[in-house]
Amino acid sequence: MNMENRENSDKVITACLFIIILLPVVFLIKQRIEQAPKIEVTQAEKQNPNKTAAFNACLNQGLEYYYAKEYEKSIESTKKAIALNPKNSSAYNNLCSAYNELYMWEKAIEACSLALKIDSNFTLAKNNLNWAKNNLNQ
Amino acid sequence: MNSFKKILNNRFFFPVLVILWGIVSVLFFEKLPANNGLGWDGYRYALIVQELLLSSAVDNYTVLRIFPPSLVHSILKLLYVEPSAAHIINSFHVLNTLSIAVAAFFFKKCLAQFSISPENQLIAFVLLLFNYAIANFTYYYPVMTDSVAFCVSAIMLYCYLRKQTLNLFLLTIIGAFTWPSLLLQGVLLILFPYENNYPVKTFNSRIRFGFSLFSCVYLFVLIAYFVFYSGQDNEVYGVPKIDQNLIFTSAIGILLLFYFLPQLLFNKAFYYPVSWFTKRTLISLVTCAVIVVIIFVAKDWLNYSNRQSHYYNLQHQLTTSMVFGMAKPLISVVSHSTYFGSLFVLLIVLWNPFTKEVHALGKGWAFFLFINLFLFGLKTESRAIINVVPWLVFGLTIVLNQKPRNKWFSLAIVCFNILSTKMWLSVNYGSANGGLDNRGAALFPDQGFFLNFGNRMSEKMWLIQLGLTIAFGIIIYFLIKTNEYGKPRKL
Repeated sequence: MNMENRENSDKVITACLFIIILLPVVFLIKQRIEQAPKIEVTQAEKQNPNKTAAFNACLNQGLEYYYAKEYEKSIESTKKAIALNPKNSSAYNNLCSAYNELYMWEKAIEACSLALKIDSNFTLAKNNLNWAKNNLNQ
Repeated sequence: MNSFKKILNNRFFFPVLVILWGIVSVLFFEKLPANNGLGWDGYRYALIVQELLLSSAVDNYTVLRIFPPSLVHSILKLLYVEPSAAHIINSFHVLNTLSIAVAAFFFKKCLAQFSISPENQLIAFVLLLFNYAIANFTYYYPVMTDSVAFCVSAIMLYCYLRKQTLNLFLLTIIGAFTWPSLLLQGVLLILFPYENNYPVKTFNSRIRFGFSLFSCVYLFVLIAYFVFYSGQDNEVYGVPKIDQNLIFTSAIGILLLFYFLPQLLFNKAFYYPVSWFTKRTLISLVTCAVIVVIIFVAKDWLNYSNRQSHYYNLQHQLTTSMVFGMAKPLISVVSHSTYFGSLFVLLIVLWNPFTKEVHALGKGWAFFLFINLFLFGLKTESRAIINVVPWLVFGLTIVLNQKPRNKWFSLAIVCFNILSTKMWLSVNYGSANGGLDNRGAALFPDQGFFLNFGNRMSEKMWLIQLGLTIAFGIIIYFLIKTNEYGKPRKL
């Protein structure tokens, strides 16, 4: 009886683990397939791989500076990234976050507005914009 | 007294306690204010929750942490909840609380399997849950993957002891995308499954010395290369540089730790060829190969834009371990004691009987503990080894269970853990810019948060916490060696 109970509990654990794995995996696969055209490197980027690499490097550098709380350097790097690709909403959002940390609310609002012009569903940019607007009003 | 034991024996007692603690913490305790409460790493995970693979935060390192944020993303989607910062924080609060409760549930089952007495079970849960890492940090800085890693590791312990290979396989896949070192842990546990009553035969003293010498030489070469030859030092804001005046003391301190670490491997029976070349090992080897292939293919597929992170680099990890571990004498031990409470002091004091227990628990356990501590044990950001904590506590509990109890011993552990939780300390992080001290560590009030991380601890806090750790170590040592703790129980 004990052995049987143990086997049943093993099966329950296996089923739970399968469900826990499947849940995010379905969403990840769905997005990876649906967004394939967005995700794949665009033709322009393919023709200019160095520029894409430089953009990614600047954007990542900006994030690194941001995590190290060196917000001015973060702004500098992110601006370089924007110069290389002015149509990336994440770059504007990162710029906005760094301005928010420096309490430069007006510039933060400007950056996040640009991010939302490119991608109106960008929730984090909306949050950052609201944060900056609320602080400016105070 | 009997009814108290009955409550302790109930398998839902500790999980319910964890959930209650979680609710109280979420409602009443302080929260990290940085980045709207998302924190720094949490900011990246929040980006992943919001946009999954489209997020700029996905790179070859964060992809190995993608499971918890993806899980939160999918649940929020299913519930039609907007992934705002507040919702993400609340979701992680729930995820963390449930993860710790589930970990407690499975840990309790493991203790029951080894017939641990209710009193020692209580001590085990104090060691496991009542420390800064679990009782405080989880709720102060919720958007992290630590609690999920802790939970996966605790369930791995249960599945390992129950020889459930399929569940270990699934847990390794979850773990690899939650906490990178869980991949190594899972592979070793599958490769070397648990065997009851594993034979224990100790090496002779020459071979033991050879192992220890090899470990020290390895560490010495790394220190000589990274610290003395390359002159590498911390260049991160708020992280103090190596104290050059105490550099030799620091080196001796960590060499001493590495001298004793290989004791985990001193079981001759681990190396009998007959135990390696079996049909079971071959099946395990194929299973591990399948896991590694799945993970590496999935990792590249998910990181479609091929963003690279410098964290995804063993050399970087080793360098930071070395440099941070050399910052001050015994900074790693101080940091682990500050973060995990009495556990590491007890391990140092009871290292001999602990390693003997590990020898009896099999190769998988011993190799996984050794490799994790060998590679990441010096990391002063003690979070890095949260996955080994359930295993260390379990091994230690078996040791404690074989000795007669002493109320002063238990009381000392409880008091040190209460002290280490810092629930009594108001953090008040970021309320004022305290600036940096002369070595580059943040001053109070921000130090109230950073004193829990060896790499960001100020000199004063290092000194205080080193003193407390040594004092606790001495008390524990004398309670074991000279007081009634070591005497046989009266019949």
